[in-house]
Amino acid sequence: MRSGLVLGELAEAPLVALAMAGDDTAYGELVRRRQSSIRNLMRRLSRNAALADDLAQQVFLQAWRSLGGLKSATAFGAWLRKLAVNVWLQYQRANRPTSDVEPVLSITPALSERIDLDAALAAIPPDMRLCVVLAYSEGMSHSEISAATGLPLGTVKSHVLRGASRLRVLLDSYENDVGARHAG
Amino acid sequence: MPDEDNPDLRRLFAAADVTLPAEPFVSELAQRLGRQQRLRFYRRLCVATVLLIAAALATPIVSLLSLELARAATEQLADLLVSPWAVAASPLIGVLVLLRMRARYR
Repeated sequence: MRSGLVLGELAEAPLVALAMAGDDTAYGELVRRRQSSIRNLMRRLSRNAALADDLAQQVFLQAWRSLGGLKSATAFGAWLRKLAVNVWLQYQRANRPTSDVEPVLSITPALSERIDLDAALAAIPPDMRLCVVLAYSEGMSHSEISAATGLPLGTVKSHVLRGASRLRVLLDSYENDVGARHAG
Repeated sequence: MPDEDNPDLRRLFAAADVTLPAEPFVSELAQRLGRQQRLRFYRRLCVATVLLIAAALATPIVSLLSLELARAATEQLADLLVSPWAVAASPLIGVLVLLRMRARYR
């Protein structure tokens, strides 16, 4: 029986190869290494820690079921991330709000005190949020985001640009407000 | 490779990343995986059982039917099979089959 210590020292590619061959212990080690980034991604997208963890579990369950279809062990990270985006998009489609009105956030002094990056992300529409998170948090290119989400490349570029601009406005407003309160 | 050139925003995102504890997430996932594996096993067991029962029930019927068809075919074709023409034709048919097999596997 392979010890957990030995698996912990392995690089990711051999671990993935072992998991693809049916080694559940190796898959468990992969989950340990990747769970934080996938859960953080889901938290940024869903703005709900419990929902994010449930969606992250679905990602790893789907990954376990379809690991045999992975073409290369070195592509595991990007493949897992694409799976996570698919799980999020499936959740969104199944739980689409009845109206498509964009959320409007007016910056009141009380609100701006509480605002932070996650709250600022919550203030932008879901598709825009997804593109901004994938671009800035996951470091994906526009074409990679387009391939992962199914959105046209032009739409992705527009979402990332406008989303980043809105985030800057919201976060600058927060900093100014905090600064004014400290000065006053 | 990212396209964006906004280092402030990228720094903000990097700073907001927290390392989340593996437990109890990994334990809960292990339990769900175990349940899925058991469900998959029971599903396969059910399918195999149904197929076995269907085969066991169908075997007498299929056997009887096969015997009946073989008997009927023998009765109908007996005259032809034991005729001089059949005796002459059967080695020719065998040779033809052998020649086709040689041509296919060359």
